[in-house]
Amino acid sequence: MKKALSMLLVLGLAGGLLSACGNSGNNGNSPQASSEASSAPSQAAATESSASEKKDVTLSYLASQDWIKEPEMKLAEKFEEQTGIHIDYQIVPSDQYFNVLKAKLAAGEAPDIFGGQSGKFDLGPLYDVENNAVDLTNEEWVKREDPLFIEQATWNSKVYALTIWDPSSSWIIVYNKKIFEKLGLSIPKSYAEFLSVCEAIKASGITPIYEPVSDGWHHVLWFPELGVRYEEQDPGLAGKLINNQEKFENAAVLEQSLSQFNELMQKGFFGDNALSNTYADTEKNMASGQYAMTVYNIGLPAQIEKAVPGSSAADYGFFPIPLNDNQGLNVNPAAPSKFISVSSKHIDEAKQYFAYLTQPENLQYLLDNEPKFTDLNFSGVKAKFNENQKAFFDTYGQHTGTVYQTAINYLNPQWMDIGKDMTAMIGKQMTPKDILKNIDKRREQLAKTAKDSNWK
Amino acid sequence: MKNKWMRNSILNLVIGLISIIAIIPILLIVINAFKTSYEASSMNFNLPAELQFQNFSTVIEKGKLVHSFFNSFAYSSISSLFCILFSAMAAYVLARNKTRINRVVYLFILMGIALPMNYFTLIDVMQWTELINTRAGIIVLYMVTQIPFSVFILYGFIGGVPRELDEAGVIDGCGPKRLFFSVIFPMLQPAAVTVFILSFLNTWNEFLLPLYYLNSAQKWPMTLAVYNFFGQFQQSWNLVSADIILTILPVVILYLLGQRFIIAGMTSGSVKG
Amino acid sequence: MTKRMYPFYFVSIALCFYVVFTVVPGLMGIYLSLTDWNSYAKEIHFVGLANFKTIFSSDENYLLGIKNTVIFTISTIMIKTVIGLLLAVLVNKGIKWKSLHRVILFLPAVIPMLVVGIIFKSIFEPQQGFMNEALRAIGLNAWTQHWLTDIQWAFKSIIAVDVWKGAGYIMVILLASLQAISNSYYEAAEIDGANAFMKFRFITVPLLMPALTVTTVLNLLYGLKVFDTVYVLTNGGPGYATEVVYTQVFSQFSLGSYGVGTALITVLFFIMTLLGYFAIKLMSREEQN
Repeated sequence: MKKALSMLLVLGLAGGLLSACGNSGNNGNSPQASSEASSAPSQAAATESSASEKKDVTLSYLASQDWIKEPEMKLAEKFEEQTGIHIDYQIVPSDQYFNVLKAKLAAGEAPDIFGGQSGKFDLGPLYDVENNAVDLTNEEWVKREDPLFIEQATWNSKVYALTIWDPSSSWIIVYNKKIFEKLGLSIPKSYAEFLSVCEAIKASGITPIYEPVSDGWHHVLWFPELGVRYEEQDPGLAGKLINNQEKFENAAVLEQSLSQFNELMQKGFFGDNALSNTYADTEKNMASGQYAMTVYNIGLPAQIEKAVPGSSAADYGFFPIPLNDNQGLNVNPAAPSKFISVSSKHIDEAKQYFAYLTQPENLQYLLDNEPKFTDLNFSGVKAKFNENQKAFFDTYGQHTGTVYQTAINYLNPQWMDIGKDMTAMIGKQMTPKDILKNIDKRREQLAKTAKDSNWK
Repeated sequence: MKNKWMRNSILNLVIGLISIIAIIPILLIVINAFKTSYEASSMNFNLPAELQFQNFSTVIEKGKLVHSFFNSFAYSSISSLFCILFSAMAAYVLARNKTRINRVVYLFILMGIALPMNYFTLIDVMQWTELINTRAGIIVLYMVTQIPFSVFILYGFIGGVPRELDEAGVIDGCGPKRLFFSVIFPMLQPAAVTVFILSFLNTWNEFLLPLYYLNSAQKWPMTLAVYNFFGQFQQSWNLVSADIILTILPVVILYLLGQRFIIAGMTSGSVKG
Repeated sequence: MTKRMYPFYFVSIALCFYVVFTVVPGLMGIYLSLTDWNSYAKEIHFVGLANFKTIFSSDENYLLGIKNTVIFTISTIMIKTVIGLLLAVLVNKGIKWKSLHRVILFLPAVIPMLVVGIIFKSIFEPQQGFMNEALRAIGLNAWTQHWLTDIQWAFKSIIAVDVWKGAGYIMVILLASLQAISNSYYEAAEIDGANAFMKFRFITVPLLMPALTVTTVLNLLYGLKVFDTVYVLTNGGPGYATEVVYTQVFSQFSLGSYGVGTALITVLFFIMTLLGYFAIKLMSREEQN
């Protein structure tokens, strides 16, 4: 026994030493060479075709979880077959992503391609794109991408990122039509109507709203997603907040929506279990018929049908989040995007990859094979809306506005903190006013560290 | 006699209960690893209608576990072995020759148990030493993170190894190297095995260092694969469970092997606390 | 003789690695805690003790985090040591299936905290989770709780999970020492008419003191540094009820205020060094008695 174990250890030691030495030896010449040398043999061993006659290049691609969809990886395999360029995806857990990226950028160890959330206020402060990212303004696909999205990927009139995302993925209320029909309810057009709908549903023994608070981010949606309505109620508010001419604390419309969210909670419309509910269980719980509504995007019905045998996507309809009597459609053109690193030795190959991904037939492939997408932010792709989704966009699509986390600076980075504040409000430890004060405090902290001249 | 029987059965009951509490969550994982995705949607102890062995092959394929398993194994075992060797050498001299300087050095090293890792500044050091993005670099880092604690344990243990052994060695004409490697080091076996297991464990379960200091997913360890797996397959508890089992299995096996090792080392009775 | 037989170069290998890869980055980190280092600005400026002032000002939440961290540390040390010691004594002798118990009891220590968090979130789920289901099954409906989301229970649940994971680890360390105690001590004591408790108090505990020092110091440092247990189970919630120092450090880092984050780590480091030093001093005196 003893002998076997020590033999094993010695073998492991010897093997490991050899590979370790081989590696560091390579590294002495050039770091790029070492990453290729070590990944090349295992690639060949894997299913991918051998690419010896083509370019032998590996592009490292750092991204946060959920940013890279399965079909994109499939496309990358095809891309490698054609060009010999291999994409080495390094998918980082989302809570670690930003720190890892920041550390690598600061140390000049950036990967060839890196992911980042676009947003016209964030590209400079968060990613320092002028020093870290390659200017993509003159790429062919820029002309085909939705200008709203391009705006969010632009810093000082240069485009720095490619965004391929679903423009129709607004956070709205998805409701169970069967429950509404059974109780004789119709789509609420105001907050007051929403309250009475919830009341009726609750009286029938069904929990009106499925709200997964435990994830920490989902319940925040109720607040900044209403940007379209805030601007309608208090025109120019967003502009004043951006320039620090107005505080969140003093904006009555913001306090109103938080108070209404709290009212829904305190009246028990989220059920007893909201604090423990998880986002991942949304499909299961919505299909169970124990919940009537939830905040999600229009892709949910299809996901439910896929996840729960016997359920049907046709049973679900949509309407906008009705806090503050909102009837407009919230849109968010900021989304996970791809940047090319300035320090990359393979900038041309990376651009080639972007060009490949944005070929119309490849975009269509991506859309058709990604269950969470119903449309893409590029002209020329055919969206896969069904009847219910079409009806929703026909009704509400005329009046749209940008969500607050994208429209207002220094708000998105504190998303999780707002989540904690809102949970504290649920537990009656904070008031809506306290939450707004905290938001102001954190915005000030962020603005000052960014040396924003509007905060002195 | 009856009294003793009573006492024994109570003791057995107590430990049995505690063991059940310890294992229930793990059993939950094992049972759900063999279910279909739908059966496992709420984790419970209902038995699966049919054992789904293909969950494991799915996980191995989708999670790319084979490759990352070998990475993890190399990182953990090599770093732990070097850690024991260097720590034992240091602890031995520090414990035997308690000069003022050595006491300070000992406390200085112990401070490392409390010293937090700073990922941002460490990246600079990794660049200076040209160890960044190499497997060797990760091994060195894992070794270093375990050194303070290992020195601490081995230092205490060496205190219990009789000095007469050293003297006998000197009389036999040993030099310091031979004395340490052929007389002292073998005596440290029980402590060394404990240190090895603990350090292997910590290293096996760690995944942040590779994120920061390696630039290729090919070199990533198993735990990182698991972490990413959760994000992708959160709704499939059966796959997540299978993934968890495959990840902890190697460490459990190591512990099973190591545990016999400890006992074998102890039977000689030459070491007394 | 000592100089020749115990050469310093034996120490220097470990020492060199330690200094280069732990102490140097650590010192650089302490320096950064005196700067306005953040994720937005390109340059770093020296700001003196400004970050520390922020931490100790009372209108921030940091003092709550420090308080919670201390409560967590003390309670887990006590519970884990008592249970770990009990287990070590039990599995050392006198019971059936010793080896099986040893393996089972150590198993939780093997599982990555991340995984533990995922399992226990499912177990503590109030509606379908195993914990409440089991309580209902034995008729204790009144005992069911919202384990992780009720302010009364969240922190206790975190401590319970940590004990579940850590007790076996303590057991293993103590067991190794326990087995090194020669039976002759107990035989001698029996001849002198000692009962079981006296044997435990006057032979087992003193001889276990070095190992108990190890586990206590270990638990102390681990407890003060606690992060992942809290992070995966409640992330400091509900609200801020279970916030500990390192979850606050993490929030600061996410906000990009690295300066404040590192300052918080630095404060904790000094507390740890101080407490760790006293714990070792205190317990090595006990040992000599």
